[in-house]
Amino acid sequence: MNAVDATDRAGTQQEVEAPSLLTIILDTNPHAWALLADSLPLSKAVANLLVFINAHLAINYANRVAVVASHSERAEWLYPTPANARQEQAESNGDGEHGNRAGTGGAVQPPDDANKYRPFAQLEYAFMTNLQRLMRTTTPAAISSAPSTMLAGALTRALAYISKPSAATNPTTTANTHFNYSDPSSVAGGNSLNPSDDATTTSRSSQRLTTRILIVSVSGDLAETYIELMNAIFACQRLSIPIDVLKLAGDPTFLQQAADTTNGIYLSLSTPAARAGMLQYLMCAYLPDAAARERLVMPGEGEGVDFRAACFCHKRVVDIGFVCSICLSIFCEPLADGTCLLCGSHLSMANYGQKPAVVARLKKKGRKKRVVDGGGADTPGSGGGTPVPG
Amino acid sequence: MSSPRTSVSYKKTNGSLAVDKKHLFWTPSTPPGATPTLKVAIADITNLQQTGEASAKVALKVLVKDDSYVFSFTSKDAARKEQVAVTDTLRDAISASKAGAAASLAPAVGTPGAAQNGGGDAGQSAAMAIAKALSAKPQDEGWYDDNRLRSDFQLQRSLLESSKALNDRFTQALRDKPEAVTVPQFTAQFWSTRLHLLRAHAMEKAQKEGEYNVLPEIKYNTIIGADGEPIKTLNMTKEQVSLIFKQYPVVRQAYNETVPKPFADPKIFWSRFFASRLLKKLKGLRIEKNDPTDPALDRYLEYQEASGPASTAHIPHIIDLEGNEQNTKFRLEGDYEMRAGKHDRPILHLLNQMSEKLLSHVAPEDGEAHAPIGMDEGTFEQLQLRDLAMQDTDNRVVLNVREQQRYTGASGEDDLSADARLYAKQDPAKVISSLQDDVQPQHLGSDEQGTLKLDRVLGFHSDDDDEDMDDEPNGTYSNGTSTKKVSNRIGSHAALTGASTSILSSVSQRRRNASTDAHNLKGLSQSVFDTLTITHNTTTEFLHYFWTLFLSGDSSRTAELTGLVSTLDRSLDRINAVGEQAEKERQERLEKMRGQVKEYFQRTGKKRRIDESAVGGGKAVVDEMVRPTVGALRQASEAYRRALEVQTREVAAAGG
Repeated sequence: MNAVDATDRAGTQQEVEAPSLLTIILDTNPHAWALLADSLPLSKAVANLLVFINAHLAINYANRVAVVASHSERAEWLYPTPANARQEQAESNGDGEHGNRAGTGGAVQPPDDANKYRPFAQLEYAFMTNLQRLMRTTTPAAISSAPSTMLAGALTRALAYISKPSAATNPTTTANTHFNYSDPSSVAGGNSLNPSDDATTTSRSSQRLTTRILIVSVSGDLAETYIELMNAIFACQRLSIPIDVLKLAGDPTFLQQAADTTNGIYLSLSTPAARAGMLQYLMCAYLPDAAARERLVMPGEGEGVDFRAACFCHKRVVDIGFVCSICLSIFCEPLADGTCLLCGSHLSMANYGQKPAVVARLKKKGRKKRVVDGGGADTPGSGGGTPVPG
Repeated sequence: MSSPRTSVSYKKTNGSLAVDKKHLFWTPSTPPGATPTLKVAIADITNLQQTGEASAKVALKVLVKDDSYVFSFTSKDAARKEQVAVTDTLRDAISASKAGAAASLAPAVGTPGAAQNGGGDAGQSAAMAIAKALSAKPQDEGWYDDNRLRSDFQLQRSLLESSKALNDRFTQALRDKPEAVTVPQFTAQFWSTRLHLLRAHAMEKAQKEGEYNVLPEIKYNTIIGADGEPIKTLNMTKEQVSLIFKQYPVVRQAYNETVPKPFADPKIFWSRFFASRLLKKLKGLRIEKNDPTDPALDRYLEYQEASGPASTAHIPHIIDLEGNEQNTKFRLEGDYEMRAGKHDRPILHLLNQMSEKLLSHVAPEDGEAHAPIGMDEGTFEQLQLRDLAMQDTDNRVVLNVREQQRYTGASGEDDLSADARLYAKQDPAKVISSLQDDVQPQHLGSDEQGTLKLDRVLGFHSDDDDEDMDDEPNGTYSNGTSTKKVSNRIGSHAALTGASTSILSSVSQRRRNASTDAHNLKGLSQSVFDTLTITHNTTTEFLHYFWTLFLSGDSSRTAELTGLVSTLDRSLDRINAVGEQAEKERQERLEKMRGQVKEYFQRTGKKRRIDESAVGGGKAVVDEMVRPTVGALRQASEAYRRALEVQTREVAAAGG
């Protein structure tokens, strides 16, 4: 009887839309936003983003959202408010101070307005307070030393956050099983849920939580953290979490790859006119969740992806690099001692990558000597150099 | 020392020079019968230099690594002749020793790779198994060695014959190759990037059919004889006979013991054998009571085959059904599958034995001869009952990224990106204070209650005209920072519409890309497209050649390189020619359409318009298709010109 009952319920549950968790990584690199101040100030971008988040929350009551700020020297949660910050906030509330300086509009209050959907107000309040605190605590020294943004850190935080609700919704799969790293077919985090496992539990917790990450990026120069970034990207690929990228400014190299690898959407708003339509881009391109995307042709740049990698030795983005045949690490120039920096394998190179010789060396005058033994010119071995893409 | 012996002076001392296969000797003439004082190993000689033909002095300089020896030929009338003779002998000896070195190098190259394969993980792919098998047989390894593959012209020709596409590419590239590149140079280059194809082909060719169970293959042919009686004939080849003997030792024994006597003729033996009970037994058929008996052959029915490797092989307990009978105290009543006795069907046993026997013959081919008896690592992995294992240990390899401290010091300001340089111009304090200002709630439309009026901040009022919005700023929110030029105002109708358009166009582009097949000709005719494909292939081939040569830094091959660069330039011409051909084709098509329209006009008096842009093809399409190739060509020739310019200047400076 139990079996019959369970299958019935599983059948009806599939009609309910699966909740989805949207994790937004907002690049808050102050330098980059200051450059954008003319065409798209941070406040406007945040307002656009809030509308988008509200739309996401409005689609399904079970939808959830999280926002991480990828700041210039650290990654910080903007929503939900981290525990330590909440404490701090409570203290400051007790003093009757809300941390706003010029008071034309009044402080953003915790929700008390009957005209606003409560979750929206809550989110907006937390988001804004945390963003203000983040900006307040940023020192000029910190941003002058770090030209880029802590995207890798933010991605890691986002992934950690995603794995938590996934683990909570799928208690049977994650509690008992250990992820087997050596088995490529297994999926970490128990993302694949056998619906018959807990068909008897409530519909909300038994359903697969679809997750995705949206990176709103304004800065380039990510090569410094190339390895960390790629690790995070591959983790997303493995967990089948799409990374959507909305690029407002900066060099696109690795984020384009991130979107491509994880089946996310990459859009670049490089002109002020395009940035002005940010809300429409957000709503049109990024609102559909994974379930909807299966049935849609998604937008994106058709012109091909910049697949260049950064070398492990100098963090340069390379067109032609040298790859260790054992551990596949990338180097921008032949290694001096022929030992791979990562795995320590001894590597040797054919005569590839030498300084080109295009002019035959002229013989010195006076000493007339003919080279007798040419030895026969050997063809250089297949150096494995890929021709430069055009 | 059958070599020429010549009179030379070395360091002003008279003596004689002799060459054998391994060494060059110089012996001083005084005292007579002295032992050679100078001995140079031929393998160490790096170069030979001689004085010019016209020069009065005849000398030979032998360069050995860093040292050099100068021998002056002192013979009055035959100095030049002697010198030439010595040089020729030396040259031959050098090339012989080089060839020898290359040959001895070949197996050495193969072994480390094989050793790695041996240490590989348990889940070996078929290719690795092959590689492993090869490593066990050094005499065959040469086949798969790079140098062997590169020089095996017959193999290359047979590969070309088997693959038409490759053949086309090869002949086309050969036809277009620059004059400066010789055919051997070209083929060497061509194959150097296709060694894997050669290797695969060599392996494919080396495959031979294995043994098969021969008895069921031999069947009677029934022919209606002259007298109307059916005559059964049996056709057996020599190979089949030897296979029978190999697979069924009992038949061999029977043959040996019976053929001279009682059966005088092998033919009689075979005809009796194929009618006998022994055959039925060997085939695993049931022997019926009324089967004819044969006193000579029935003796062998009870023959016990000497236990071969199959029967002695260790059977892992996990799959040993007999073990169930012996080792468990439980009675497995209903468990049919797990009882060895239940599997007692003669035909099954026989087929199993046969398969084992067939495979045991091949065993040395794909397994290591010295492999441990019983289970090896791979079998164990396969047999392991994974579902009972609690958890797998983490067997990742830890890679440590060694930071390049020695280099990072050098990376200065010039390594910064354009963005970072812009950032550096900004005043951090100002940046932060402006941002702190910007994130104040009033910029987000916070009203008196502290509720964000996001709709107002976005400036999107569905029915309002954009102009009105800008002219009359609403008092409840400050939009001082947001009003820009009308077209770029954030959230303006124009901006949102523009965004929709761009998204929709990218969607439709994606859709086009997803739906059309890769062989979309975009209006080109098949013949033009084929020409374009082959031109592209050849160009890629030459580009590859160019980069390999360009980056090899081999100064002796500059002429070859120059020729190659001119070929690259010609490739561009060839691509243009295809483009023109396509354009001509398109014009012809347009012409035809115009003619049709004209005729239609004359017939009906109505004008019809033709959409010329809808007619695909033409130069534009060709250009679009080969755009990356043309870019690659340009980059290659630019790199060459730059290097040429720099080095010409250097040489000029050195010469002056």
